[in-house]
Amino acid sequence: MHRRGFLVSTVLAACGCRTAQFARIVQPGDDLMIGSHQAGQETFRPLVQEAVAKLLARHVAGPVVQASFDGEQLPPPVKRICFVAVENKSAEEIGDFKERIYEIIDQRILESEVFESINRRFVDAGLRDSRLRPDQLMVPENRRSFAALMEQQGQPIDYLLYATITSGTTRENRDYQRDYMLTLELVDVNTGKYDKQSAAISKGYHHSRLSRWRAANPLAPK
Amino acid sequence: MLALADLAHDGDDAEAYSLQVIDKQRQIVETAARDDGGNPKAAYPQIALAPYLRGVLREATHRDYDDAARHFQLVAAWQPDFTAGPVHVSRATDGVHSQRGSGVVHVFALVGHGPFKAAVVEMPSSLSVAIAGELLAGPLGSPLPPTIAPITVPRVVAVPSGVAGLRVRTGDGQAVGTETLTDVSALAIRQQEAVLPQTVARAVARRTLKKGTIFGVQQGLGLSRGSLPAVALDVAGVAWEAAERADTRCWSTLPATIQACRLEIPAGRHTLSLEAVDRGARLLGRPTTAEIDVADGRDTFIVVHVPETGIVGRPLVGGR
Repeated sequence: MHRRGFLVSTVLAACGCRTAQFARIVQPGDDLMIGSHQAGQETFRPLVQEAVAKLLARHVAGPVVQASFDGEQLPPPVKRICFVAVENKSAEEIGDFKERIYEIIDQRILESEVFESINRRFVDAGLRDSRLRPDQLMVPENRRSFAALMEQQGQPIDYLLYATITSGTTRENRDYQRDYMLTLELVDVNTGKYDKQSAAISKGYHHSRLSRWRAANPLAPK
Repeated sequence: MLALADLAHDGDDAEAYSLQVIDKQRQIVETAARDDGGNPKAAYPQIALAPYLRGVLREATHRDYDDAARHFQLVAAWQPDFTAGPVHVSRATDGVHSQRGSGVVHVFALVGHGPFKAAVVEMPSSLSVAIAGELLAGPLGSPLPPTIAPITVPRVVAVPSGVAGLRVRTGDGQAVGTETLTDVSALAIRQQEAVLPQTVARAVARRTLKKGTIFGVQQGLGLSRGSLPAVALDVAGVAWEAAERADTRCWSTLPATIQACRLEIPAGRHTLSLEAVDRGARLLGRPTTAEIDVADGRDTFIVVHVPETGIVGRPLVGGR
């Protein structure tokens, strides 16, 4: 420790600052924090936005196909989605972000009016009553019995939705790059056919500021 | 402990507490990282209770089995003696929370008295003297030989316990024993051993700095050795050094071990018998009972305090 650093830390310790913690309200437009050791909002927010937007864009209702008796065109029936789970298959523990990712995706789907989302409490009750694991719903018989159970609860479903977070790590000496991917899988309850949409983001983790600068600056010596 | 206390009520905040414990453990280790890449706290054993609680709570969602499996794997790795660990991993990986018509009861036992800190006289090791030399070289800018006389430092002392754990009996005769999930005494001792050279080094450095300060003042004032002011300063220095005390403050109400067991029983009202047992599986004190309502597919939590001679107080019962 250098002399100046020692003096500063001594003064801070004497002032009782070591145990204090400070906070701020992050206003829109303020700089957001970036996770230095693992993925944070800077990773998950764009992943969720991109993946959900792509999925919804693909399923926006096409030309209206149905007409009433008086010739008036009717909107197509809204498809009902049962968002089953967010699965974390990445190398990191995402902690409280898992619930947040679920809520954001659920909210975006609900707002889109492309799909109608089943309330999570019904989904939880359905999984608990059926004692089926989310991955077991891929078995046709299980899927049908789960759909029947949800219908009994007054919540018929057309699709099951799964979100999966995966990662891949590339190491370069003491630095590493981690590629994160969020995949949304939409499974038709009746036919078992599925649609898939992904979003990916790569993040570099550096052991020093110099290393980060060298990686970000194209003119820096490699 | 907050998480356990919360589970014994509504359990609404238990998940947040368990997350915070895991995060705090990581922070403690990370903040001790040195510039040379070393980290004395990297050898800290981890508290398996936190991932266990997290695993239990995630499994109870009937949805986040992947999280549950991940955390039970940590439990199995951090506390290999906890034989139920691999069973939990297997269930979270391939099984389900419970069979239809059944619920799960988790019993947590706070067993024995936790460790305490006592002041002991320690002879500085060569490693401690070297660390003290580095500590002193920083602020002073020049090496100052640290003194190697014995010093008083705090040491963690475990309290021997006669109670081995808890036996839980259900109405149908099923008996399950609790197993140690977190050995608080062993953790405290091993953590202290990991940082003991640093603790001793800091004590040595403090004493050397005090000596150096007195010496510097005497030199600065031009006091001749043996003069009255110099002797007075020496006496003040001795008193200053004698004011050094080992910091023996500690959390005195911790248990020696935190134990747990899991029972899957049919939904409905049950009376569980709870018995404290010694290492020979002999009953200690009087058994107590806990009246619980087990809900289908849900968890019920019981927290029992077994300090020494048997169960103390009434079991705390909560559910989610």
